[in-house]
Amino acid sequence: MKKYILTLLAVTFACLAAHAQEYTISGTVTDNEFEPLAGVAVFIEGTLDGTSTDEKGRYSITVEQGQVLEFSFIGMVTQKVTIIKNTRIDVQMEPDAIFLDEAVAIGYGVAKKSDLTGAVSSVKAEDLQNAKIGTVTSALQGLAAGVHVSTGSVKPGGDATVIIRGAGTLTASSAPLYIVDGIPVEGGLQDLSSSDIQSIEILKDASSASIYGSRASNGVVLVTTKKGTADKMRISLNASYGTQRMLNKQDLMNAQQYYDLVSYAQPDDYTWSSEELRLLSRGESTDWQDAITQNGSYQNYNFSISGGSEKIQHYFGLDWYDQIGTIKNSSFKKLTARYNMDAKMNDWFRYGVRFNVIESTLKNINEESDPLYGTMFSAISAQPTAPIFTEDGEYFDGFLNTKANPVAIVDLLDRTTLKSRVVGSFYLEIEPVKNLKIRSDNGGELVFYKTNEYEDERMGQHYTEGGHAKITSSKKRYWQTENTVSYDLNVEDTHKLTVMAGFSASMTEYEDVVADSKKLSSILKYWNLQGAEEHGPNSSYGVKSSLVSFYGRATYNFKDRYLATITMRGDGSSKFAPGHRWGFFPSAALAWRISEESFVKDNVNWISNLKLRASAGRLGNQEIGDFRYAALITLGDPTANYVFGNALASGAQQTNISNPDLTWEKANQYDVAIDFGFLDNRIAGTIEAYYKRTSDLLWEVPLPLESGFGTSLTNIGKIDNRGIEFSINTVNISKRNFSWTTGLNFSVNQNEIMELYNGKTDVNKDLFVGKPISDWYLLKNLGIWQINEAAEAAKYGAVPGDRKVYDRNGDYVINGDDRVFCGQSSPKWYGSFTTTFNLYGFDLSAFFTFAGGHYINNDLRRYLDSYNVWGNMSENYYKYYWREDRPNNRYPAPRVGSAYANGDGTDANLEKGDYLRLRNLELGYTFSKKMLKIMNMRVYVAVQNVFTATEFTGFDVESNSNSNPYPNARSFIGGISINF
Amino acid sequence: MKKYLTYIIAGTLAFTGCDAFLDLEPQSILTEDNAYNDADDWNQNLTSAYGSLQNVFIGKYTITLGEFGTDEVEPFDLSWAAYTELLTYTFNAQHAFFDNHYRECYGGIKRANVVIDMPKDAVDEADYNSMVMQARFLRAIFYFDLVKMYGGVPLWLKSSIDRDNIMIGRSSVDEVYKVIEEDMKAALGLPESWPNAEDKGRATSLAAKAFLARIYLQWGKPDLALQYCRELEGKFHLYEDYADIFDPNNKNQEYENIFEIQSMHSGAWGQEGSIQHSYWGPRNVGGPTNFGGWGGFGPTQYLYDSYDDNDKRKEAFFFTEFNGVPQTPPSTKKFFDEVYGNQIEDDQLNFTLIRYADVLLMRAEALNSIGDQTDEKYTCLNQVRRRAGLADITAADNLSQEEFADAVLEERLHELCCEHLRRFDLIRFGKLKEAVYAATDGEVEIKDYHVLYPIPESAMNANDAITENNPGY
Repeated sequence: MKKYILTLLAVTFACLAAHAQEYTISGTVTDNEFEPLAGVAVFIEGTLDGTSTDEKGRYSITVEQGQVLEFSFIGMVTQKVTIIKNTRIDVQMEPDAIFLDEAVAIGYGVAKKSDLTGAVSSVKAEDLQNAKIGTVTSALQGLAAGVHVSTGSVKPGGDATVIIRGAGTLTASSAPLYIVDGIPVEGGLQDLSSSDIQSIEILKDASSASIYGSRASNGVVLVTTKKGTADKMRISLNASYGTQRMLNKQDLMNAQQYYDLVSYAQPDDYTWSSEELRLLSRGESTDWQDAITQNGSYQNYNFSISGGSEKIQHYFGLDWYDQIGTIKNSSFKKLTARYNMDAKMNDWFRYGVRFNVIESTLKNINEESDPLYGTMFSAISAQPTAPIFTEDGEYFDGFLNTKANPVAIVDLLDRTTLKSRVVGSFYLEIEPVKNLKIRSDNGGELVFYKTNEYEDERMGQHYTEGGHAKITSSKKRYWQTENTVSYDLNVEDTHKLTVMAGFSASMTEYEDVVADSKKLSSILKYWNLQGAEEHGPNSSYGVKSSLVSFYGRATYNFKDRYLATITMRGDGSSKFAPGHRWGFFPSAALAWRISEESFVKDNVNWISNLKLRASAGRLGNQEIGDFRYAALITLGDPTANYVFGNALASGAQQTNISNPDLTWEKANQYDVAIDFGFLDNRIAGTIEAYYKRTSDLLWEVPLPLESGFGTSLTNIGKIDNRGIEFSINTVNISKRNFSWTTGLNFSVNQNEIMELYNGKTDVNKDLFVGKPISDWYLLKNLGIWQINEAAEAAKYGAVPGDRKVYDRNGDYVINGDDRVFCGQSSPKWYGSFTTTFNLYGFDLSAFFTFAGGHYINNDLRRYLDSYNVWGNMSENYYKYYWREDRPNNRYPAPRVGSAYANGDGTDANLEKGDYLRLRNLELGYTFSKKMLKIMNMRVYVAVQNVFTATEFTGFDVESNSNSNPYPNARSFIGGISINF
Repeated sequence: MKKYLTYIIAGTLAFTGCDAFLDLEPQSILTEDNAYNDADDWNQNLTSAYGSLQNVFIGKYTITLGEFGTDEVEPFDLSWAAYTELLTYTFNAQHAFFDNHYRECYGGIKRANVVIDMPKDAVDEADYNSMVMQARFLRAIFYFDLVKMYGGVPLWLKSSIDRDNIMIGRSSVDEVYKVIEEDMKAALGLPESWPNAEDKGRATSLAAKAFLARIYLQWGKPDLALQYCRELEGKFHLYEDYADIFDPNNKNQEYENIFEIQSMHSGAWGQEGSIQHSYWGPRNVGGPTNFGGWGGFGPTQYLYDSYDDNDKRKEAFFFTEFNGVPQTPPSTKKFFDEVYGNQIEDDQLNFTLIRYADVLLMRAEALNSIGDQTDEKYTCLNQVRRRAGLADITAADNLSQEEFADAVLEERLHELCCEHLRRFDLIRFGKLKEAVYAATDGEVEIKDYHVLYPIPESAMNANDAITENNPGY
């Protein structure tokens, strides 16, 4: 108030003392999205003269030539403009590298970012736009330290895998818990439309995640969708279109090379079919990779409208996503509609709904889960001497790889997965006493999956004559009720206390049915199974699980300097044995905002934010199958069924022994961090270290094999994950028409098995105490036996040209005892780098991701880089295989029966997984509202996967299948977004 | 407001009823409480023990253990280390196939034990006796396969599991054989043949006798083996045409084939179809048996060349070419399904675990071993030789006991090749080393201890009571 009076006085005085050069300058202040900013302080530097912007962001002030105008607003970088005869100065403000007053979702509530005590990474909605093709899960890549997202499957409709702070589990799932508007979502965020998302928070440490105790040991991803706006109606339209070019096509032999090699290696064994000879005689060759691939395309249209009044606010969003894959006949289409409403009936009663409907259609003919059966692998291994069509115009059949004609597959295979999903919730909130809120949030989801499959008999001899149709249909039903009470206490802004307590219950019911029929109408396909001549095997399945939880949280804030949070959650899960169902997951955290202390605030003005925080707590994991604690008897499994009198007899067998002690997997996690902001938060970031010990690991402990039960799910052992996360965002330049920002995050994780069970130091030479979970333990490849080593080679039964394998114990027998440790398969470090320039309405951004320190078993090399009697090989193999007249150490000689030639069991096919990828490069131009009157509009072009620097030679360094990959693509995208 | 109150009430109720809310029943799987109610339930448990026969004898990994590393069969995908190691005896206890075979055998034993331990009053007496006898028949077969492969193994004879006493050490070879003997003798109470067509494929007392002969012979008790061979006289015959033995149209005729492991084409792999055609079938002709494509295997050239040219089996058992594609070495006709063979791992072939030609040869072998001086052993051997169009061997040939044994062993090779018997025949005759050496031109020279495979390392790891592996491993 005082300041205001002073300002008024100053302005008055300034007017009185007006000079001749004085004149009035005016303009509009907008944010970086060209939305007007109200309340921006506009001062003349070095004076107390100033004003502030009105609701439409307008200001006017009297100035003199040469003075400097200073624009400042909370959460924005202060801007200075020197007056040179201007009469109008429009300013666009750039947000701070960190916006401390931002409200952040923390689960069952929100907190100001400055008040956080735990490790919460916030992802801004606009950052998700770095990834246009693919899912929201994959868009998270590189956006938060400590969160490792690998592309996983790039097929249309495929999703990424997320691991937060290292895998700390052996059997149970290592995926984080995804919560969208309070409702847990299984399997990632693939159904969401990124335009509907307001923010994503990733809860990484025990303190922040333990409010979701039972399921939080892998971290929590909290998604909040957009709300309606109270002030005015906003309409936004986005459209983008792109084309995709397949990357990393493998260089394989052509027909002539293949013919030469086979004739050299197996002069008498191979009988060339007349079709192959026909192709060879014409000098032709079939490029199977080309034959099954195409340029993909992608389009995404999005429309949203939001608005309302003080009383009620609405948001409606509609999104259409359509991708045609680079493998023919694969595509993904998705329609998403969302309606969110929040209403305030009176001072003490609010209510609202969240409603989301998703329909998608996936056509996929390349099942990566079938590594040796998929379309891509069939194409890679099909011999180039085989024609696509025979002389009679039929699909060529009879491939050495025993697979179907890849082109027949992409032409004829009809496999469509339809998914319909409805998610909704409504809440009621009353405030009977000021600051006491009682809230009940209730919701659920219904998901229907249906896969229709038809295999045409023309696909080849392995396919059922008369056709084969299969329908898989499943349904998931989930409901939950969450009820919380919270109270805010504020004693003279010195003591601020918030307490929250709640109760929730949820139930999941899943069921599926498979109908399988053969010999049916090729016209009616899967729509008329009753017309089939053969039925079965059919199957059905159903399972339920439930969870009951009590939870509470207290946060205390003393003078904005000292912050404390205590969280407690108790969960009861149906997955565990009676008597062991309840788990308790407490945590505590402390934070000290050093920058609020007077000795910093008053003395060190370049420090704008400095916070020290520490947390400790316990989290749980229950992601295992249901009823694993009970003795189970399976009926009708094919390995138990038998045949009597030439008819099927179904068998029953015990498949699980009871484990009455089965209980939660627990992770104790400790976390220390420094959050910093320097120079008006132009430089802001976090350095964080964590240590997570998972104990009572849920693991399939081998039982004595003689029991007839392979394993029993048991709580055993310990795994440690420790790591450091570093992230920094900077606003390097923030000028009126030019700004430059950068962001970097980098994470290091170390994983180590600390204890197994019964004092064992290893289990089956697969898991080792003192090593990471994902360590490779293999024979060591030493290259190729050379001519002058023939005598030594003979001791191993090898001849020159065979693969030379390290005989560790020197016993002249190569076996499992000679294995050595060969590095780990999960990255040791990963992160991202992003930089954005804004210049006179143009924006240019580049987004890089990187990871490394790991080795990938590229099993494609197993087939391509050694003599393969049933499929094509790499061109390099043809050029460089070992021959007496061209000895080398690269590839073994093409000799049938050459031991270890394909590298199986050795490290020969391990490749360094390090990579740096320019994931997105984007150039845009924004037409401001000023230019277009009623709207602003941004147009952009982007290139994704511009380049990847890596030594990895497979299709994609991030793919989880190497032998049957869905090829990654370079995408060229153009788009427009309009906001009214 | 009403709604809100409802939720408060619901919440409170849930609070008090938490445990009830968490007590859910499995829907698609049975538990101990509801799995064993009547004879049908127990019968389904028995069925699964039969199901293990497929797992143990018609599995890719398990077939190879009895066949590779002998003179009669070789794999064609030599780039696969697991295959090469068996072939060249460079394996160790970590070899995955041992693990698989061991698990499958004990899986069958587990399933049989459930039936053997069923409460007496669970079903009526006739059903009880019949089921227990069948289960003991099966348990004997699984333990017999274990003792042949690994020597003395731990004996699990109960279905209940006491977690505190779960580690059981190895028994001696004799102790295992005694259990096998008792179990198989118990099965002598089964019918000679099942009257109803829907029971074909179940164990019979005649099958039990044939197996007792095989068991005693392998155990070194030829006199006892002889007794059971003789009891089968007149019960079975030899087909005139070799193709009839393996023709799926002749399933369960009980003419020559005494006990068959059942399969049927199912329309999808991994069901009740057999994998035999896919692995043994002709190569280089497209389809699932393509050269190496399925890690296929087949007879050695050494085997083929060992036949006399006038031996009918040379033609009857082997393809030297198929659809114009030469088969070198020849592929076997024993596992050839004309109808479904080309469908991946889903043919309709039964696997004959024991047939009468084998019984005749065992009888000749047993008689020779005990020094019988009558013509009986010649009669038995010659029944088999005559069908092959070979000349009789008679007392006039003046073969010593050892020479006669060699003749029997050779006859077994030519008659029973690829039927998973060779390794154990060679071991019984003490000729494994010699045969492997001869067949590989001296390239593979095995050690004496190789007559036993190692106890799989996974079994050693998971069972603290197994402290020592077989000598040499």
